Amino acid sequence: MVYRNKKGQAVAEMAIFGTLILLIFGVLLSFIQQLNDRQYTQMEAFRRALAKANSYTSDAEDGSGASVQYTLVQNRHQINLAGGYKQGSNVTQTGSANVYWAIPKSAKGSSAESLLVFRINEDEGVVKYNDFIPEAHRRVDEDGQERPTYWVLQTENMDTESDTLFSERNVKSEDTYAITNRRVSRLKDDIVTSVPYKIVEKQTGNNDYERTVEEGILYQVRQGVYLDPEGQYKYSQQTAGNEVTREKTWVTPF
Amino acid sequence: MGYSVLKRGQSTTEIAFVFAGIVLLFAAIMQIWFWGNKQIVRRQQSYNAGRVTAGTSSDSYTLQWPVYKPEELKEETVLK
Repeated sequence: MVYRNKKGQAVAEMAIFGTLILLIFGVLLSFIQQLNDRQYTQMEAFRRALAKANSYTSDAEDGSGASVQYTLVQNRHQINLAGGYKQGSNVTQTGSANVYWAIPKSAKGSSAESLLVFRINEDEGVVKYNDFIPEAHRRVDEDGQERPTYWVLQTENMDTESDTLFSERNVKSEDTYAITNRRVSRLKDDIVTSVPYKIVEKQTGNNDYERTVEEGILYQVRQGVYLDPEGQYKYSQQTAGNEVTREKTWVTPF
Repeated sequence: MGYSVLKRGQSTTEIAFVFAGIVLLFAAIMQIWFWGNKQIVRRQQSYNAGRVTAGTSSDSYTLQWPVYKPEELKEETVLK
């Protein structure tokens, strides 16, 4: 009787601790994915800022190049241990970079175009700083003198609203030859990202003074999830309202 | 007596197999972890190496992106 209890004890222990090890493995994997995504986003932000600043051409005749403040936001699906079949969880990664690359303009003595660029997943919005700040309210006047009061454009924290629908269906059928399992999941995930702004009046030499002149939304985009050719979930404005269906069928013969 | 000895041996064998299994599983997990970490280091090296090209305006400008294609995770990498 005593020996019968011993039988299979080690196997039972492995079943318990093996599960724990696999759970820890899952956590490690999600950690690797997160670190990789973060590094990738930061690198991409800088390279895209370089490209934008270097290749920018204004409508005026005062050369090419710009001063770019680039913000990159990427919604990436990561492992969700508690989620459904191919559900994952949406994690937002952000990266930003500032690049000034406008040699021809500087040589002419004029100031470079100042751009705020927001790339949200695959959609890009470009805002010209000077479109929001009229000539009469800029910090430096035409003669190069600082004005006593001037306006500044400030971006606030981004707002993200998501509308997610996920459903999963498992069908198991059994006949005399095999058991057939079919798993189907449907994911609809729309994200609305907004970048609010504020125009603030400031005084030269007085850091305590600040008056809000105007508030609003600088850039807003609605994007939907889709599956790229490599099987990764991506978001785009073109696919707003899209639903992704994934399914798997496997047969276990007797 | 003979029966009891046989049963004791079974338990020891089980432990030996299970121990080997757990060690293998742990080693494979660590290999995957190292593989993941290597991607970060190699991507950074590749990124640094491409900085000058990416920042040279005299060059016909290319985005120089993506800078690195991750190494594929293969069975041999995990079980070596």
